[in-house]
Amino acid sequence: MPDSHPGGSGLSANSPTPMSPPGPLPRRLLLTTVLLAGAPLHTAAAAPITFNTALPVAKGEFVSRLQLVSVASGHDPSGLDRKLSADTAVGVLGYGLTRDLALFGVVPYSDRGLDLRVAGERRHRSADGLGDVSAFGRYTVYQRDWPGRTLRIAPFLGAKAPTGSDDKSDGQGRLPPSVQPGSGSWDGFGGLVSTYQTLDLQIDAQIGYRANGEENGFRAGNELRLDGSIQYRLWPRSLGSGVPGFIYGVLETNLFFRDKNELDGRDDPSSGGTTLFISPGIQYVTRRLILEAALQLPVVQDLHGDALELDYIARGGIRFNF
Amino acid sequence: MNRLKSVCLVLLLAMPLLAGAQQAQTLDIEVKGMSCPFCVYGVEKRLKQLPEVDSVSVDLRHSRARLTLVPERKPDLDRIRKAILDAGFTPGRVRPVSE
Repeated sequence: MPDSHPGGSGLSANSPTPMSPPGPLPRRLLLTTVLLAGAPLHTAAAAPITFNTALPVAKGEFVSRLQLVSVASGHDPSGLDRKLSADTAVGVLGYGLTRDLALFGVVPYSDRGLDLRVAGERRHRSADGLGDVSAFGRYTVYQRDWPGRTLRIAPFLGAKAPTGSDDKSDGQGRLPPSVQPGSGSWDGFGGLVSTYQTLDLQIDAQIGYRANGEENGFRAGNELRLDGSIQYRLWPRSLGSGVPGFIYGVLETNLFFRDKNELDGRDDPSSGGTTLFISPGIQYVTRRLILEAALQLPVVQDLHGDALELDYIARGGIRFNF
Repeated sequence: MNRLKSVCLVLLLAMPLLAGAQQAQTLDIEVKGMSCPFCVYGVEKRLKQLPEVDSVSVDLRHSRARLTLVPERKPDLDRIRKAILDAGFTPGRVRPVSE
């Protein structure tokens, strides 16, 4: 679940995560996961914007993706009037080691801020920096090609390393986990992605699981995600000769089931839950690059306790072959 | 004099054939599974790296790569097919193109 993405196509294995209110429990706001959610790790071809694809990376070739992700929090049931914002640039580099095996690396850089009211006083806290780096491999186990269409299935497996800072502080002391660029833990993720592509449309489906590690007595809830995407060629309406640029209309869904976080072996009652996103988007695809944008709108947020809801996640990016 | 005329006539008629011998050979190869513009780049790049290939032009709609070969170089079909496989796609029929 590399969030992709990129990938996708999954860039980090993180997903939009409900946010619980600040308090004595550390790492209650795991914005890292929100920011990286769905950053598509796989960048090989036209692909979903919020997760991965099974389309190939040519042997010996590189592909890259840069995606800007902006997250805005929504309703806060805790009464603390929390406002969380995060802008993250997610860079992904993919390399075709063989015709079936592609390796990906994901590096995020984020700028995060948290506003909340404490004892009637409004406080603002923020930080920026490099986040946790992810790496994963994807192997094509099934491929069936026809003229003008293809069907592929590829499992992927990867890990996130605690390379981002998780101990930044300001004049008010150590920053809460939701504002830290890194999580401090090693996490593992894996899943299966399938792609069916024709000259007119592309359909992708993914199932992914992320197991989060423990650090300083804290463990973020593990996560199961199901994703679907359809990309339909809007232009040109009919194909001529050569290789024209395509404009795809994109519609994606992302369903996340997240366990509660644990602190010293105890569940955080205001964490975890179920979130369903509907994400309309658009892509312009040429030989060398893809320009894309999508807006992830949470249509279902069945969160535990006082977890902070999301308002939206906006994504814009570019992918290129070189 | 008549003999000289005959030689000239034969040479004249043979010119197109002689010119044809110097023309680059062109092949069409089917590329199965190639169904979006971003996929095309890898196929073109791998094919252009082959020593016998001078230029490549892809037609998505017909799932076809047209290879113009370097004059007097013979195509290595196994190598061409492997280049397409390495790009992640499946090579199909190959046929020479008569211009």
